[in-house]
Amino acid sequence: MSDSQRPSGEATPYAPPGTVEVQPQATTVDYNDPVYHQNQYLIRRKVFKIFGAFFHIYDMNGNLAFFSKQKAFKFKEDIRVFGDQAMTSELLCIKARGIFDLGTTYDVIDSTTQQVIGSLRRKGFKSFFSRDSWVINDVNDQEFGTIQEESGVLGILRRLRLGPLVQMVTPQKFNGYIGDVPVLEFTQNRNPFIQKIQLDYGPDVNGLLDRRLGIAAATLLCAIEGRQS
Amino acid sequence: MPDLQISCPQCDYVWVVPKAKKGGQVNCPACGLLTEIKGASDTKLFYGLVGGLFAFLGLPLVVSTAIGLANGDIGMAVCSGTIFILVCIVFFVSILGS
Repeated sequence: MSDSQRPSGEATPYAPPGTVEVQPQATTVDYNDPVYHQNQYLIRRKVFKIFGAFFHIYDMNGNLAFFSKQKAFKFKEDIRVFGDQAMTSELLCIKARGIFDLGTTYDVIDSTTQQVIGSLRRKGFKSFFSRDSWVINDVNDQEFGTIQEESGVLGILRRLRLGPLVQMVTPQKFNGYIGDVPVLEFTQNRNPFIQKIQLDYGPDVNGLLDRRLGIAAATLLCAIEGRQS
Repeated sequence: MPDLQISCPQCDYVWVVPKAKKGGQVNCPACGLLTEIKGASDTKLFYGLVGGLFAFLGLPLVVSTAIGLANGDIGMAVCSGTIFILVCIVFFVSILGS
């Protein structure tokens, strides 16, 4: 019986065992999945990665919730968030609109529905000279939220040569707001060599912020601000 | 700010988006297809900087190569010419890669 006559799904008995490929099952995760609705996440940047970057995003129980990859050698920044470390299910895509990071906008796309969720814009000059500041835009580029470093004075100190020392004494902290209502907090760890960010949705009791935007923002902070340091 | 006119590659629906969206992603209002707006928001700045840097580095090297050849200083000509070729390669990789 030739391969073309064989019923579909029946493996050929003559195939050497080494040629059988086991494809990992793609997991489908939509926005209603509980993995998106945890109160806290921990984003950890993989240390030994020369080109590009990998980020592990853990949930409150320490389980891997997401895995993120920052592509190397891209003129326009391209970061993908997956549901698993094997990168079988792409959940979010974060793409820069411009080549230069100074003040560019990053579109956040839900890869499962292929819908643009919103965008995050880095306030270039303010972030360069004082505290890091980001703007959260909706689908129509209308600003509806902000994320900014807690302290301007510490932000300036971090940009000086004393940056790692300041980081160890007082870890960088960001607060996110929708209007004037606090919705999230990012707290960096003290270790200057291993970058970790604690994402806390605790203040968002009314669920004002799309959690996907928060996860994208945390990954971006790790990728962009991490590269500066 | 002038707007950009976008045509959906799937349903040919034409709509207008703000110029700030250049280089970004939009969904077609008619069929929902995710469409990338070609280019980048800072294309002019990028090409200006790359071109300017190429001229800044390349012109002295070309002049140096020409002087080396004119004076019979082969070492100077070969050295400058080689660096110029390297600069050209980096320039073309930058332009093509963008």
